[in-house]
Amino acid sequence: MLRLILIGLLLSVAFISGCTQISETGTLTESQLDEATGTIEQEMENAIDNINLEELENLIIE
Amino acid sequence: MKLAIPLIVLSIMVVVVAAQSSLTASPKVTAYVILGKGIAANPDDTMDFMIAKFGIGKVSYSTAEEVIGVLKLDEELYRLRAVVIEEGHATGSIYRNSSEAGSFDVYSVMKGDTEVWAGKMLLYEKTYNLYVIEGVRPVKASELRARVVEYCTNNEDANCRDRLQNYCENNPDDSRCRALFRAWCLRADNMDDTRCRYEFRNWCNENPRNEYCIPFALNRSRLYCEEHSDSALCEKIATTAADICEETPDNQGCAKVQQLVTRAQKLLQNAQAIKTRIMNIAVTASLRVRAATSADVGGS
Repeated sequence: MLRLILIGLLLSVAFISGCTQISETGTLTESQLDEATGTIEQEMENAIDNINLEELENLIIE
Repeated sequence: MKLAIPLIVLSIMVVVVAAQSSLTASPKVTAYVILGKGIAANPDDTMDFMIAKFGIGKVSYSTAEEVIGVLKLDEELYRLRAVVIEEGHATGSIYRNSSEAGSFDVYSVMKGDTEVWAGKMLLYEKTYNLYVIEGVRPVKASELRARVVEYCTNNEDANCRDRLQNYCENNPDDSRCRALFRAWCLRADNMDDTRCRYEFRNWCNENPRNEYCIPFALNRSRLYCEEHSDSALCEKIATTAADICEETPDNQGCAKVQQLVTRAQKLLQNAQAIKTRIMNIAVTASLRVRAATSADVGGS
């Protein structure tokens, strides 16, 4: 019984230390930064596709 | 019994990995600061220029937040790191793969309803002038819903009603939903986000006399105009605000313009004529007090 409690306690400590290991660092990993960079790049490509040149087209036509 | 210890050790390792992976989620881009396209030109060599695509965002994960970005120069990809932003200004380092290739320093300036990021870029010890036109990135319906939920959770607003969140996702062009999104932009200090600026650019085109629209261009261009206070562009922006305010001095936006010019000492310091015009606008004392106690000065 005591052995079971000890194992349970050990597993709890391991879980908590696993969690805190991430939160303590407080910084983004390189792979996370790369993933976010990819998102920004995609948004950038979409946003610049939409730069409106309609006004210029209309002026040329006039 | 012999197997017990290796089993326990293995269990601990599995539990640690499980704990870490349960917390490992994708980082979120919470704001798109710059999404644009332009030209990087070497002032010493007319034919040394590159098409520049520029993207910067605020990325958050758990308690960590970083501002990062991407730069494409003639389709060569660079990463932007150690980016520092303050309203209308961005600086940072440029990396090619993992080695530092240079740096950039750009200011936002409004030309009519077009936002331009102008400044310098240093790449492999060569200096370029950089001009980037901000792209078009309206807020998406699902993003609008999330912002409305956030705003209505934290603020009492007559436009916040039950089930409005779902309504806004299905009717993102509804005027009340747009108003709540603009309120979120102002209240949560999110004008660094291009989605908020796009919303205000459109709104201000149709409502130039709105209290947030009168100081909008001057506020966005504030840092640029502090550095180049005698530029014709800054004078034009200030003149537009002064023209409106001389007609309607009882507009709260005019008190915000005065507040901005008073607080930012370098703003218009070499354009005294227009500065005097702005300071002479007969804004009532109560409006001045409201502007002084307000957290935002026309959209910041």
